[in-house]
Amino acid sequence: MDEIIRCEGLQKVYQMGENKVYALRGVTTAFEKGGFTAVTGPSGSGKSTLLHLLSGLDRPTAGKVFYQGADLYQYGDNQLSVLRRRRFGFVFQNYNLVKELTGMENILLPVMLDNRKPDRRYLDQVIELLRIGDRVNHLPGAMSGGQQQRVSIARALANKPAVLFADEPTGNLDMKTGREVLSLMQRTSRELGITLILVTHDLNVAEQAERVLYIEDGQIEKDL
Amino acid sequence: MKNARKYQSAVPRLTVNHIAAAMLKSGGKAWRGLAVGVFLSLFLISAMVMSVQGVTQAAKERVAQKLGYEECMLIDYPEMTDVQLRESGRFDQIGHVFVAAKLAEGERYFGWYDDTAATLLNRQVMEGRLPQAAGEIAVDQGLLEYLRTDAAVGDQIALNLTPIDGFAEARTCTLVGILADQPLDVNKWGSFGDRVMHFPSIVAAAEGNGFSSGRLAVHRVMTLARGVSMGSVMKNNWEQYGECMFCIDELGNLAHWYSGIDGITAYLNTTTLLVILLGLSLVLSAGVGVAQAMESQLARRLEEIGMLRAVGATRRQIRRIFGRQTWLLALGLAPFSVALGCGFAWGLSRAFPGTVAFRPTWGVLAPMLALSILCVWLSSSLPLRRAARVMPMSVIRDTRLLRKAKRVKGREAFRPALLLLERLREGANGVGYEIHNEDGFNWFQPTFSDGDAAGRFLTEGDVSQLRALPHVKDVVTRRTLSVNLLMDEVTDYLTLSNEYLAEDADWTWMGWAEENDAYRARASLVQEYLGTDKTLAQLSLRAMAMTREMVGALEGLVSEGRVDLDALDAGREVLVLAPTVCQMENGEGATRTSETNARRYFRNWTMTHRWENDVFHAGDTLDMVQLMGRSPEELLDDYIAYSGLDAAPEDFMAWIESCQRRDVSAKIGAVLKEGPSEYMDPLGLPIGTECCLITTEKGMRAMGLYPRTMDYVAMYLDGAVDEETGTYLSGRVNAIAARAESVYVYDGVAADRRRREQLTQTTLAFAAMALMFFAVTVGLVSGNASRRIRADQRMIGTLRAVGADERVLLKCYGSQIGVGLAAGLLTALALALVLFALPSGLPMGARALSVGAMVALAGLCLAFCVLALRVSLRETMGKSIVENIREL
Repeated sequence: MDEIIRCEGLQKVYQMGENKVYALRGVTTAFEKGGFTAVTGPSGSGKSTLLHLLSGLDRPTAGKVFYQGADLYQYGDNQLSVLRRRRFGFVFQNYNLVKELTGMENILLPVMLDNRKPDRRYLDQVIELLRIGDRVNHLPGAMSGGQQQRVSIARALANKPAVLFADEPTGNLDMKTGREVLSLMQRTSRELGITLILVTHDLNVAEQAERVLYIEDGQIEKDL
Repeated sequence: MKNARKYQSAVPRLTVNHIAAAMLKSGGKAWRGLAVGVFLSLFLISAMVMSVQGVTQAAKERVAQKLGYEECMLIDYPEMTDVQLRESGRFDQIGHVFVAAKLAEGERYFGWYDDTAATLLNRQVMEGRLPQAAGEIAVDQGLLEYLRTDAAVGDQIALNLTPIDGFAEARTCTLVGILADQPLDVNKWGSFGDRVMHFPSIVAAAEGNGFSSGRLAVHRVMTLARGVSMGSVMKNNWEQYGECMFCIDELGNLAHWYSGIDGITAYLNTTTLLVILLGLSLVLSAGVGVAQAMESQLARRLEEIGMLRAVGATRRQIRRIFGRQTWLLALGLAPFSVALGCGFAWGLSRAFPGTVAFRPTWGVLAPMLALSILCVWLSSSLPLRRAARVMPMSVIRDTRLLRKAKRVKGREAFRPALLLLERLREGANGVGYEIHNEDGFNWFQPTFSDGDAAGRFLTEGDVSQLRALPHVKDVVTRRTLSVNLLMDEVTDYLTLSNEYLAEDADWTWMGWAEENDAYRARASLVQEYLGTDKTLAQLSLRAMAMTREMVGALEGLVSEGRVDLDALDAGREVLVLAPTVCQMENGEGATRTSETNARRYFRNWTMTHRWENDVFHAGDTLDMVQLMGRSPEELLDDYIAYSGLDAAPEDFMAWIESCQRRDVSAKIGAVLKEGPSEYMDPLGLPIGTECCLITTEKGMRAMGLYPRTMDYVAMYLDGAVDEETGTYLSGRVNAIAARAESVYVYDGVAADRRRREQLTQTTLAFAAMALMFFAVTVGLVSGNASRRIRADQRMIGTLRAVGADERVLLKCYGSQIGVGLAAGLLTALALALVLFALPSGLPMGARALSVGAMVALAGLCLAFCVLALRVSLRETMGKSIVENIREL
């Protein structure tokens, strides 16, 4: 197996007043390059926390995350930022688009942050795959939820990431749109050779993944 | 491909500026707070810089009006050439004032200027013009008074002139102009050895006015080279410039003595410190305003910051994106705020002409813009750094925001402003004029007679003229006599005033050891002449035309006995001022000073010795002898020829014998202790270590003492006068004072006006600060409350769900604001009280603005904070309870 991300003994504890809340309790697993993994489980089980730690968005209380063999949290803040914008893409449940920028400008954000010129051919491909060519010049406020999420996916893919993380990407969409977005995301990832790690509590979504991790109480209960 | 083609033509070039501008454009209300903060800070800084520059410029213009543009003067010192002066690198422009001759009538001089000096001295022509040809003259306005002539422009004036070190010549000149009087500072110094210390009061043209004999005394008026300070020049005064270098300080005073410079420097340092403190608090307040607005703004954008971090933005990029918005705002608002700041300064200059000038130059505008930019950059960078530092998920989750909002509740950034608000001073001590004769009593040359002539001073007629001026309540005169006390015993205390009496007196530090012996020798001759074995101790006797009010004031100084005006007037009693003297040392040197001065000015020094009065006691009888010359006019020449220390004993003896002798006795009515200078000065009493006798004018005559000429006239007004009257009175008093030699005029009316102007300036500054304090406090507290409310939405929703109404929620937050404000106010008051307790306060900050005003201000702040809180709360409560709870 050609693994791209691995975590060992990953633990995340939140201090709530005098109480400690264990979001993750020593999770160890690995993800195959180009694969599609769904992380599922009940609310508060720690699935989103796992995704945040795997993508370098948050720091673990204990444990390590390796990206292509390198310990992610040994990097400094700037190195981690560079890694996030070049190698990872992240899709949020509530899209998180900058409402003052058009769809196209939102897509170009990671490219601009990386001080690079946009690869037009690649962007054409992504936009075509996501079918948003007629909406990218609009502000997010003028788009539907599904369109916003597709722009958000395009933004996540803009820098040709190796791994695409998605946290409940269909959570705010109706069933039909959600299915469409998921299918687009799957198709795009496959065609571009991107590893997809997706958090969902929708078992129908999880069923479409090649691998399903079922998390409960901060631990992997099942690895299907 | 259809979709792709549509966007291909519109791939934008995304930049930080583009993002910042887009956010600003769509931000609308959200950016209003930051825009107001940036605008206010730019306005305050520009208003502050322009006002300070205006005040400084006005002061400079006043100095230029009074003394010209020169910064120092080298008086009649040919030993130092122009080349040497230039090579020293200390001086820039050098102008020459040529003093050719002295007027026969007295200490008034004839001379001319070169072009540089004429420019630097900036002499104001009141009437006519400056002389251009030989035989033409322009004179000081006061010279006409001095000559007691009513000559007008165009008239011929006959002058008896004696060239410096030459022979007298008579000249007739045409008066072509009348000049504003030179400040008395310039001409108050007498001769210094062979050097002429005066400037010409009769100005001729540079060409064709030479004399057949004598020499030209050349004064050089100079400006300092860039980067050279007055202090650095004066430090080399004694060694390099033969004690002939004078500097003009920033206050327009002529400084010669080293200690004078120290005092001025200390004063300027304190004033500068106050201005810096004021400026810093304003800048700080402005900075806090921007920081608060920025923090509040960033709190609203935390989700976006988190998202940008999630897509790979580094901290620096976050700072750039959001910082750029502040820059864009600053750039957009700068022209308006700077224009408004300039308008404010212009308004001040219109409201206070002469005190504040409006002279905008790039030299001021450029640093002002730089300071504004620095302030905006510094104050926005801290919140930006803090915002950029958080982990992406922390801000997206908003949990950090929750914790942060709970932390910020008790911050008070306004304490310094509140503190300075307390330091306001009011009031002036009194209004009037004083005219001193600078040569009044020269205690450096104590003789055993009243021979040191006071020179030409005001006459009784002049005093009558002063008394006849409008609003004059009283005119008090003083004469200073020398009397010899016949003492059975001389204690250490008495030797302080008569050092030559001490057997072990060591005057070598002043190079006077020989003079000390000479005094002793002469004392023996006088004792022989008087036929007494008693020791002679010379003291000055101040004879004052004393009013009942003055007697009342003197009673405040009594340490023994009582002040009986009738007994004084009858010549039965005299008063003795006997200060306690302290020897103070600081490791580098030692000095003797009065106890009051020691406490006030030598606090870090160690007192090594203390002398208390052990000579004079109320009820004791003093036997005194006064020796005086034949007539005032002949006195000076007599004194130099026969009573000088170099005079042969027989000449000295002959001179004493020619003097009139008065033997008098009087009881000591009261012994007075010293008081602070602000108490002693208006009474015409000496401050420092000098012990003296005091009586009234009538008492002096009743005792039969020879009345010397007056040396001090104080004129009291019946109250404050308006500016026009003040200007008239000042003009008249100065004109009358110009009739005397070597006088110094203290213009209490002008000083009072200056004090009131300073008070107005200070009040304005503090009012501006109070306004800023108000704005910052309201912004700070309401901003924090607003953030808390936003963070507490879920709790607010929950409380609403269980039935809490607006009143309950308002109370919940309002009490926190009230406690915060009250704590801030109490802390500020406590700190202000501590500052007041310090013995040496800032000159402008002697009294509080008033506790009532501060409480009113705090109340106003509270009211506005509650209003802002209510608005924030209503905004949140405008949403449904479900929305409140779902928000996070």
